[in-house]
Amino acid sequence: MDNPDQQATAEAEAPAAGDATSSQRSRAEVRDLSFWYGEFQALSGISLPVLDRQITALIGASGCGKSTFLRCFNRMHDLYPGNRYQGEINLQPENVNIISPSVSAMWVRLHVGMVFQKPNPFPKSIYDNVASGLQIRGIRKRAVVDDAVERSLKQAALWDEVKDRLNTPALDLSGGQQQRLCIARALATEPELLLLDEPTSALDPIATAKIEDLITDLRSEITVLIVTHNMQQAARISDYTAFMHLGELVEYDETDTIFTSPSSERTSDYITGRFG
Amino acid sequence: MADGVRDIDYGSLIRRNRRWDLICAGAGLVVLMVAVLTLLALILDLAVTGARVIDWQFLTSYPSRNAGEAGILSAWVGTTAVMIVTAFLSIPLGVMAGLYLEEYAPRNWLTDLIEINVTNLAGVPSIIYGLLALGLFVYGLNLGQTILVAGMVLALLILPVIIVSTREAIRSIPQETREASYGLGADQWQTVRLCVLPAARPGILTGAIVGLSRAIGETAPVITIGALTFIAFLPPSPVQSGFPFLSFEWLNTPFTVMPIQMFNWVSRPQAEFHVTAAGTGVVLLAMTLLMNAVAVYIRYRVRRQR
Repeated sequence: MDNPDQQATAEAEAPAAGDATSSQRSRAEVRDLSFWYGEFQALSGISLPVLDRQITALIGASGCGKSTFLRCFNRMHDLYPGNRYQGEINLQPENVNIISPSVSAMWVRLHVGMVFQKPNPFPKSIYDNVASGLQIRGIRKRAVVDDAVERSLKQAALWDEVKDRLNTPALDLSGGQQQRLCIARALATEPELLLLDEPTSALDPIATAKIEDLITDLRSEITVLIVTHNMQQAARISDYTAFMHLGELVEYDETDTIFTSPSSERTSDYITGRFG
Repeated sequence: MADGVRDIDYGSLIRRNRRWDLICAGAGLVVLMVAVLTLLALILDLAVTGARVIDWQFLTSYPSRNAGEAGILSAWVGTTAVMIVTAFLSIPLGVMAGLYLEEYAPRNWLTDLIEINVTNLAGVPSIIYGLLALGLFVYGLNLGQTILVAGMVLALLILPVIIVSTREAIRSIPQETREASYGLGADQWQTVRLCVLPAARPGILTGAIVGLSRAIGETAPVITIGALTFIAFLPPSPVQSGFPFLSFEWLNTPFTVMPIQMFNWVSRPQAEFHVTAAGTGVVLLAMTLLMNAVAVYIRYRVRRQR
């Protein structure tokens, strides 16, 4: 029912995105990335750019490696033994290969923010949750923290709902509010790249719509890489889409192109619902 | 005979299942009643016997040869002092040990061995701890038969309880919460402070109170290290009027505790002393309940915090 609308939006924005492509800076360049969970190879030879201040969606069937790929960008895999990376993810403009063992995982995570599939606020107050990233960075000045909390809660479209109860427990919020709180928590540290791992899969349609709106609003300020199993969501919010299958990148292009004239038959099969 | 699913008479099946349901529920109720009523009878008997000696005079007098004048002032002050020492020693040590084992220690045969031993230590008879303290603290380190030593031995005694409950509380924290913290760029200690300890607090607190409730009633190790049974003075006050205002002299004084006072009175031939012993028991129970009430309240506050 709202398909015509989305189509219209996508078409209206497509030329702008197209113009930008040629001169588009990339925020991260993935070159020949492979990843192993112990003996099992989960990703093989992935290369793609993550363009600056664009929303890039990762789609594919369950188990295709899209979350594994996303979690390479902040070295989440380092938390568990036996995982191995190969290749490069060059974060720009620093031009640092963030999966190189010589780069500290902490350094990477201080630059790259992440929002997880399940809302995971800390068992603390709303204010403390949003401020936690700043606390980790040693920022203590009350005025600075207050400003950051207000700014990021506004960016996450949660400010109006919680401004009168910032000191109440975060776990008293609803699921959708908790997820927006987690987005605010990630935004408070002004990440260069924001990773979203199926951020709406645990939420109802109304909460999902709110989060999609806020993600599209972020586009002008921040680079977003989002994993989603919901193709409509990818079509609605992303500028670029990468389709993955069995740990490989099948196709990467402007979202509009992927959804209207994909070059790979596998992509078109997936998008039209013939498999996956 | 019912040969297939379609041949089953569901009516009789449900009746049969319900009968078993009733039998199990009934048996459970009987067993529960036996346990609860026995406990209730014990407490009531103690309370009825003991309650009439409890008055202001009983709480503010030293023990006496005359049962009518005897009181438990030195005993409850001693118990309070010893429990404070025990809490201050066992909680930080136990929580840190549990935290290290759960968050930092590598998984190998050594940590497995430590884990098994910590669990076993919880089952060691308390008098063994008393002997250890007598040999090590009283004679070895020459600390004397003091409040400090009693606090130390009781702290040792309940350390395993606190370690095990800390580990369980930490283990029940979802991995997603930890990932959230690491995802923000936190290192391990920041993660512990930011989400592990706050989330584990209620469980740690429960373990600490269970441990302290056990320690408050312990008699054997305290007798072993040589607590006195007749004390007619109080330890010096921890607060002073002159600089530095705080004094820790009270740690080095001889003491008695309520279970010992009870033990002493019960073993006398005069029946009046059995009544004062029951009164002491009531006060001891009241202190334990108070401690639990404080824990419930703090847990409630913490839950509001979440």
